[in-house]
Amino acid sequence: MLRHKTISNFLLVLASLILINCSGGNQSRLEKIRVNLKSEGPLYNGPNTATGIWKPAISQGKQVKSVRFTQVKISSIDTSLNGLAANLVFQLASSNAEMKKIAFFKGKALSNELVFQVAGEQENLEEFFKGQEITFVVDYDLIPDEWNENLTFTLEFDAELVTD
Amino acid sequence: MKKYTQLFTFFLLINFSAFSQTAEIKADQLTGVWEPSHGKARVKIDKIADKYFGKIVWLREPNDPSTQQPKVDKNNPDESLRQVPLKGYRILKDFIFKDGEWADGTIYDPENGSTYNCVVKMRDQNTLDIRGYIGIKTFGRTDVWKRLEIKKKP
Repeated sequence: MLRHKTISNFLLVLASLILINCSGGNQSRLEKIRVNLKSEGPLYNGPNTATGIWKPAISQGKQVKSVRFTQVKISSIDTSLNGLAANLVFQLASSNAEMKKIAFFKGKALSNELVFQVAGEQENLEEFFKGQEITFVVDYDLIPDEWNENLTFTLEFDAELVTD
Repeated sequence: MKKYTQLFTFFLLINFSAFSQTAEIKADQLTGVWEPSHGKARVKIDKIADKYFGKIVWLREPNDPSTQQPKVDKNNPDESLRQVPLKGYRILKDFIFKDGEWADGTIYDPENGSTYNCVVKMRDQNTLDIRGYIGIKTFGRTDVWKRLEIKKKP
């Protein structure tokens, strides 16, 4: 009985060691990020752009190994986007990485909260997290002929971050 | 002597600051609305995070003749992005101004879903040479783009 328990314990320790080795000590966590974006008015009918800056807070000595966006949505702040914007495309830009398209919303905004369709391919996004700041870019079509105020909204997203 | 050194440093700093301002003004000349030689689209170039990007702001034929719906990026290699509308699409990405040209960027051709390396040179304030290439600049094609809002010579 005692021998059986010793073998079980040994196998348990062995399995844990294999798991630790295979994971390479990487840690995965889900980040919920909110960024305010702004388009400075006056704005005119057709393609426009809103931007916002976010500074990644990665612990010192840690490096982001991979990033995957799982959910992206926009909610209105001062102005209701309802009937104001259409065809929204969310991209990341940075001085040290090539612009990447992350998600899009096709059609007219018919509520104050828009859930985006997230891109299937999300390669090399970790490059953005190596810099000091990331610029979040949302391109959209303004529906009215003219809008004389600023347009502000919040971009909320969930991202799976794997760090070493 | 100390006074002369201080004066020299002061003039050096002023010159350097003036030089960087001139370089930035020259770099920003790329911003604006441009029309490729085929005239089928108009592209607005703007500056984001110290780089230059261009997006389609007007299409001569905004609708797909087969669906009668607004054109989408149907040739994108990533299937999940094939419903992204072409109007508003960023086809020029990540250009950096160096040595008198805008380099290190890419141009996307929505007609075949391919992305090419690209370099932009300004012939004059209202004319651009846009060269798309794969690997080496020698093997590529140059298109001439015209500025839509013509800037008058100073």
